[in-house]
Amino acid sequence: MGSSLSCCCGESTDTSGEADERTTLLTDPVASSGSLQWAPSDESTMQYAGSLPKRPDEQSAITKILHETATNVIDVAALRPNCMEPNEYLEKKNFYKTRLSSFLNSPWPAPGTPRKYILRDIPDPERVLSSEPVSKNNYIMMMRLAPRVTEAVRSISVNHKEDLIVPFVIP
Amino acid sequence: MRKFLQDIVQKVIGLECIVIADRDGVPLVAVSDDKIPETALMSGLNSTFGLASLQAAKIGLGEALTTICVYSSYQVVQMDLEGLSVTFVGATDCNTGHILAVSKEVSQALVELKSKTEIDVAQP
Repeated sequence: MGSSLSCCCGESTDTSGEADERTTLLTDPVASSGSLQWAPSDESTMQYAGSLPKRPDEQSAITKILHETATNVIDVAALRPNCMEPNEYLEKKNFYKTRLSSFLNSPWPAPGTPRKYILRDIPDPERVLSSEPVSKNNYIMMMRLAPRVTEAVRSISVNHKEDLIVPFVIP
Repeated sequence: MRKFLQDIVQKVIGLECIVIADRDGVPLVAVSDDKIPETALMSGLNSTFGLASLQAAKIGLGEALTTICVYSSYQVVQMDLEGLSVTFVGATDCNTGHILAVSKEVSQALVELKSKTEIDVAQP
């Protein structure tokens, strides 16, 4: 039995290096502590024969469980709205005020930044839509000139005097 | 920057004020069309969002980025942008979609704002 266990637990982390029938296969801190504690070897059993079970292991396991529960529980009552000291709050507020005043008064977006959209929002469309329409004379002039402008734009052409394709000197 | 936020308040019909605060709820900037209501500047309002979001994340749906609360006379849209908490307070009939669309513009400005505060923290 002992030999077969030692084969199975060849890579176990026992400090004694010897495995016997009392060696635990699992090294779970909760399972290995408490009243049913199994010592890793005869040597350690002899050494800690009269001592209490491993308290620190149990304690740390309990603390771990407690900590995990505390982080996972949704504690609405703990959501205290103002956990800062009033003077600390004021100090921080003034700090931000002095440091950011220049930035807040500077224009944003910085001048020269290209506009992202062609269209832009207008605060109240009613005012724009109800404004005076274009006068009749201006409309007639626009209608008269628009075809001429179109004609002019169409007549723009490139008048080349040299060859457009130039062969490079390839050795 | 303040002008930029002021323009947003005017542009979005029904929006009353914008408050940008850090994670502790200390306001960095607060702009309003009219007078800013005292309650909007309460550190409790601004800091609770972050805490509540963290707590709500434990339900298993992940951390909330935006919360929209509509009350009888106001609506409050809070979001976590670039590590800062941004609170929009508007009328109940204010277009919430417009506020969310506008928040994208604000977030660009917040990058700069955040960097300014970080540099300042490094040099007390």
